Amino acid sequence: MKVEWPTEKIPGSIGSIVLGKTAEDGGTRKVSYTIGGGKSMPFIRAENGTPNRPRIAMEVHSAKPDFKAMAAEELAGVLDDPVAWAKACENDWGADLVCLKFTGANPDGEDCSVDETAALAKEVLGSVGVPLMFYGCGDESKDSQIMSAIGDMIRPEGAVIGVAEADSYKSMAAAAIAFNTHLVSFSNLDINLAKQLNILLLEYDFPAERIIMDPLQGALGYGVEYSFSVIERIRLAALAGDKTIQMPMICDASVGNNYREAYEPSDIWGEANTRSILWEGVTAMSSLTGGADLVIIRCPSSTKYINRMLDRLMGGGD
Amino acid sequence: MGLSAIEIYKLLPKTNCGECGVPTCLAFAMQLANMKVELSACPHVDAAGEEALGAASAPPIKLVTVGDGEGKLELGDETVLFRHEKTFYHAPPLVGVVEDGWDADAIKTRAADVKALVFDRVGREEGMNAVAVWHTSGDMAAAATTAKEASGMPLVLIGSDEGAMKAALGAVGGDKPLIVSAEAGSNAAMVALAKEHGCPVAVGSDGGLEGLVDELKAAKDAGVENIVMLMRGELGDLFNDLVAVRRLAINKSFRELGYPSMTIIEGDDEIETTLEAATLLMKYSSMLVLRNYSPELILPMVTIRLNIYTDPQKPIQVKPAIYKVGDPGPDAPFMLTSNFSLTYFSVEGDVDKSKVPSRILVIDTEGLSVLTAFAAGKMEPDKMADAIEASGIADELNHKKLIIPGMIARASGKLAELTGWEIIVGPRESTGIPKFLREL
Ligand code: B12
Ligand code: SF4
Repeated sequence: MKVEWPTEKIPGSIGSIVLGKTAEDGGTRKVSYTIGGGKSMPFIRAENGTPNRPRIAMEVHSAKPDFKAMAAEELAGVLDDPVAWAKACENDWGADLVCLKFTGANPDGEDCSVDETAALAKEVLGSVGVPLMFYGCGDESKDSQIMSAIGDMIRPEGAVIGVAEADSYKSMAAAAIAFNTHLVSFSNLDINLAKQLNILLLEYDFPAERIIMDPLQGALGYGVEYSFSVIERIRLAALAGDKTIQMPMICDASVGNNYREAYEPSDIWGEANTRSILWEGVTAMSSLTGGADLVIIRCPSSTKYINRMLDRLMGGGD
Repeated sequence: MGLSAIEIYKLLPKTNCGECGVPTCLAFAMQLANMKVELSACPHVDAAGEEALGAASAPPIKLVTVGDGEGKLELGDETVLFRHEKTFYHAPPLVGVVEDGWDADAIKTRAADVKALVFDRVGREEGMNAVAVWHTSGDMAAAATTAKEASGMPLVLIGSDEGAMKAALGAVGGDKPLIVSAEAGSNAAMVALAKEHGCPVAVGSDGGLEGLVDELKAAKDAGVENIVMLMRGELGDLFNDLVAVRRLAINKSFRELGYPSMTIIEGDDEIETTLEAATLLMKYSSMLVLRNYSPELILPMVTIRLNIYTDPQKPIQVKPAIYKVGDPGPDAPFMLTSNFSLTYFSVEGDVDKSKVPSRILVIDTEGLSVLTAFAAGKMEPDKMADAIEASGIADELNHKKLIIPGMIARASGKLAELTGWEIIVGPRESTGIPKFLREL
């Protein structure tokens, strides 16, 4: 008996975005990638669900983070040297992008100055060739100063900045407009909130084709079921034709490292390092299976394995 | 169920006698279309109508039972493609493997290990669910007997050698193991054995989904009802096939592929195989046979399974009440948390670790975690104060000191004002509790 592929009417599709600009486009990145563009649910070949390979951005923190177990071990040599860290992501660990998180700038933490932070951004920009993402510290006024300080430098690079949240999106959006970057719109595990924030941005005249949505990633065992379903619902709504929610999605799977199963030694849970890679890895696979176009990853080993899974999900077949 | 209310209505007696409990045949048809009632509620449908409707109202994916008695497994019978549309019902069993070529001690040890590998997750015991006996070169009957005795779990028998399978079924067939035909060439023989022993059977095909349809039909025609699809292939192909059969069964009422699917995860790299298994679990594999085995691989698997297969409409909750950890006296610490299971069991586990006997008051946050409940207004100071008052805890204690989660430190002032209690702000993460309690 003949089995036909169970086609469905799919009126919408995911927008696509080019990350990074090479010399050809006036930037200094060595590579650039198109993400998004999906015409169905992820990895469905007959419907072109994933025409562009989802990408991995490895995170780099501007101040030495307090990582545990596998993350601490694998990143030991670079944790207090963001530039070396970023270089290793590119050269040794298979990152497609580097996501520089300005955690050190937080006024409640180390409170690094705007100048210091901008100088670091400059050095990272000059040290790696992959496209870059710049994440603020969460303090609105500090972040807006930082983005202004690095704006001219990153303007030609096709960079991504983040994150814009519902209660403070204007300063980030203004920076992204002024400096010609993409913008991450971050909402709290709710399709309607994701949509609302996009609408706010669009009403603020922010170009739809420069928005990347972050619907908040819950970790394996700690909310992954909520994020999995929100990601799927967003993707389905986009495919159903809702233009306000057709932007590519980013998920920060590094949260997978933050829970005890990922780092605590245990007599019952088995060997901790393997567990740790899997905690981040399964978290990331849930976002990718749901519809993420870009994931943020912490551990080099997780990056290696997720790349392998992507090879296998994207490759083969007809 | 595939048929619309109007299509169903045409097959009903149209007498509006009301015996089904709804006033009209049309109303009954509408309820039937939404799977709210059973066809048997109408005593008057004729044989032809019953046949047409019975077939249409059968679940789109057959429910298959593996094993007998306690611990028996149920696979399939899913009704949606995405968990948010309703829920996924039958969490895929995870199956550990022994080979009959191993010596008896190795089989015994592994089978016992598979049984013993149980994790406590949010108050539930989660672990592996069956042992697969894989025929390579040894005595399958002896291996199956050993595996059964050592594990007491349902069995899955994997092989293509008719003689070996026959012998194994002679030993354990009464327990209704799942017979897996390891090669398409052995399907007919294995189906015949399944028929003879009344066991479920899994068949696959080398000819893609079209070949699979033929193999399934042959099994059905041979008189076996409980059939499982053995799905194979490189990850990307397998993923697509699993999506295709699920969509065909549910959206197109394509009965020919309306069976649960099983996958066998093989490969040397245990991290890679586990990520593969987790991905296939999220996308529709109804049973997973896992060659690689150890706690650090199975814990993430049972966790993702628990997450994906919980009802999205109701978070797993604990009953609001006062819980005692250890044997707390009237001077023991007293703390408060939300009734989201994950929250409560994290806290309970860490209080237990501290070895400081304590009381935990669980307040009703409708299953929301501490911060979520706080953000949603379900853990406001007045709500907490009321819960403390209503619990009668004051009579049990010699003190009026309450420890609250560090994440809601903001609430402490108001809470102190409302209760007159001393409010102590605990650590933000429950992992900080042991140190905190010991130093209190
Ligand atoms: C999953 C999730 C949801 C799920 C709900 C899951 C659930 N059943 O609670 C959903 C999608 C429904 C949800 C909704 C919302 N959410 Co929400 N959600 C999360 C998420 C991702 C994880 C929460 C979780 O499960 N944590 C795990 C549990 C175990 O943590 P916990 O209960 O806090 O317990 C820990 C500690 O508090 C401590 N602890 C607990 N009890 C005690 C007791 C004592 C004595 C001590 C010492 C310690 C202690 O130990 C535990 C383990 O460390 C967090 C972000 C994050 N990564 O944390 C956001 C988060 C909690 N949500 C947030 C918000 C704003 C919301 C919404 C209001 C937004 C919206 N969508 O409208 C809604 C409100 C819900 C409603 N009904 O209206 C915010 C809260 C912001 C704030 N700072 O107040 C967060 C932090 C996200 C963010 N970064 O902005 N959310
Ligand atoms: S019992 Fe049957 S015949 Fe009578 S009203 Fe209900 S559906 Fe119609």
